[in-house]
Amino acid sequence: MLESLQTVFASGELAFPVWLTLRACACGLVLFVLLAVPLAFYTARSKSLLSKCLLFASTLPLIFPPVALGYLLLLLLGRNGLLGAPLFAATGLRLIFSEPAVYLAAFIAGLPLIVRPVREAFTSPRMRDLEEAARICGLGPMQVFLSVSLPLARNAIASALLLALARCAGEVGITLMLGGNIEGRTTTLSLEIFNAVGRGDFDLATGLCIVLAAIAVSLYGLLQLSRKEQSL
Amino acid sequence: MLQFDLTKTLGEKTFRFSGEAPGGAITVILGRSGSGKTTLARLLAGILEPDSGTISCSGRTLYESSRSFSLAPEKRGVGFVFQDHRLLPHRTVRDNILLPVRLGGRSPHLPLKAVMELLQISRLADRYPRSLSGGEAQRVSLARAMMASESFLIMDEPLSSVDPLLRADLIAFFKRVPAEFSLPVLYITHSAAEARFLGDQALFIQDGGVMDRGPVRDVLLRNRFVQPFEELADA
Repeated sequence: MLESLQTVFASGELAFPVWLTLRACACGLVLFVLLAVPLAFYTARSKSLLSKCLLFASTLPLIFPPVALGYLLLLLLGRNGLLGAPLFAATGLRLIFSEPAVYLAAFIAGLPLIVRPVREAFTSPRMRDLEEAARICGLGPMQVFLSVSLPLARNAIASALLLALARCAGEVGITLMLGGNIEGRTTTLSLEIFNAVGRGDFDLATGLCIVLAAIAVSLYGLLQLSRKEQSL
Repeated sequence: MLQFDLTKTLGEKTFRFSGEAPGGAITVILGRSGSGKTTLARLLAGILEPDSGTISCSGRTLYESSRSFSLAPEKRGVGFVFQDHRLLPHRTVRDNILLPVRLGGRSPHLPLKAVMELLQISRLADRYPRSLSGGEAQRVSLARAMMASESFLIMDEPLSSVDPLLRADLIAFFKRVPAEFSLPVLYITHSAAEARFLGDQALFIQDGGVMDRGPVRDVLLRNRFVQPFEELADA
């Protein structure tokens, strides 16, 4: 068993899915910081219909089966889809069955794990009180966001990011539908485990599980560390 | 001189406030719990938007409903001491006090050193709010409010969350404030003792409106709440 695992690790078969998964996680992280955190703040502060719709849409990956959600996104983003058709007409870009589709799937899968908890942090009465105090001290809304809201929510954001990254690393359903599970192009670690088991290549599947477990343990360690700092 | 004449409806209750507060003196806003004292403070600071009326300070209009003009809270130049200190936990005492100057662009009437010496908090400059006692935190909060005050200063029941043993010390610091700068100071309280010790004049608020105004002693006597309010303060 050990020998065959060593062969798997030495063969380089793991390289592509590992790097694709890490790239998807990195891309997800950037998108979470740039889009999901401001979205959490917006839904925490605005009571508009748009805010409610965005909150519902961002929660959907948590309450709707990933494969079904992936299928709906496939219809939406496909070459003849509601969004896919104008995108293709304008740029010639085909999003589905490509590497960016894997990144998008990772982002969508992790989105609710950022938006819900970070929104909770932004809506706490203590946060509102301190923001109010800062406004009276002369800080404009953007300064309050950057100098008060974000630093106060940093622990909640860090925890949420780690959980969302773990979700990115293990995402299957949406990635399968949007990425197409194309060997050597859109197969992430989780999909490669599925494929390997289907082929009867159990050594490869075990090797991939070990890599995923290492990622999961690292993220759990970081999560515990961030919670320890939070309690100091 | 701060002048205001405002109406605001919250739920089923309508508040009507009018009054003035001269510079260099403490005007006490007196009233029972729920009478609207804090609502008035929030309206003046710009945290709550009035339904109609005007607010002006030293000839500068802060709010005028007939022109649909309302300055944002950050542009009103108000200093505010809250019931709880509301210091930013991730910033040191010095950074908290300088917040209105460094990030808010305010021009304080007194330099930082003078404010810190006045309130005896120089030795706390590098500490974080979580390491301060209730009395120290409230003095730091007052220092921040003094640095933020360009138009007027509001103190909203600043002793309510402080240990009774520390109140006498703190109130002595509050007493010194008007002498240091010529701005109007509003001190909100339900304590007749605090009002008598600190106030130059008083506005008595009841049922969402200003029911009486004048020298503190006269307002206290006319409205016969010396005894009930002392009992409340002792409770």
